[in-house]
Amino acid sequence: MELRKTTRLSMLLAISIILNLLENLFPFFNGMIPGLKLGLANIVVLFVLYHFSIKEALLISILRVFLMGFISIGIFSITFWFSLGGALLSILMMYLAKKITSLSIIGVSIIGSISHSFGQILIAIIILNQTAMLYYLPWLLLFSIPTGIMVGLFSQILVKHFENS
Amino acid sequence: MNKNDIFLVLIIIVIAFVSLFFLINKEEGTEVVAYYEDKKVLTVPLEVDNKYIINGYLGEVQIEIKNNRVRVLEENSPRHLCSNQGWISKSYESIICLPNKVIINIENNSELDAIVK
Repeated sequence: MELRKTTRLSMLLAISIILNLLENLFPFFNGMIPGLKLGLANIVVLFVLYHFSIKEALLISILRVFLMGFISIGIFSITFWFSLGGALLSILMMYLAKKITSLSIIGVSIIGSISHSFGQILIAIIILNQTAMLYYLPWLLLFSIPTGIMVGLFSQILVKHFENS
Repeated sequence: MNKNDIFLVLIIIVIAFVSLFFLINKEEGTEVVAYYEDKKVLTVPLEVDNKYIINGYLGEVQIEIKNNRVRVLEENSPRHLCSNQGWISKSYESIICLPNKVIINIENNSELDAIVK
């Protein structure tokens, strides 16, 4: 990997971790629906997916989950597997949405937000063998619209800004 | 945002409301059932005010039943999502303490309901 790219990706990784930590420090929707969050780190993932490719997006995401594991959520803890499941499924779905549909970056962002919830609930069902959390799904779906649009708009601005660099 | 994005948003809203309609049954729950992993560890009536302790993955999870509602009073978890969630009282609601692998459901103990579900 050329030096310029390595440096950029490292900075983007750092930014995604800061966004993640900030979000955990100030839980926006605390007490409403467990697991509901803005998904700010997805701004970075979306940007990387559009500016570079799925390979870099996967790299950044997986490293972020592992580093978050060391910093705050605990490596290989239950929360760790949730984050990993959500992150992997959302990147895969965003990649497919970008590739085979004509959705804009905002639509792709909403897909990412939804599949993040799906991924987490899937892991919960696997680990706990309980389907109770499916009850949260409709609410998570509804909230994924405003949060997905917001994240998508931010990423759109970033992608445009760095188009020629 | 293009046309397809708006179409996507509309589909999501429809799916969300349809699934809400199916998930929420208006039945009042009659008992509180707590699970650790997938094992039932506590079954108590919702009418009786009391406090109970469940052994979770990270330590004790204390629950309180009062006025036909249940909440998690105290637990050991990184972000305390389940104690912040507050009271639940309907049969479709549940409190899920993922770090503790504990789930608290409100269930209906009549045989018929079990079959319908």
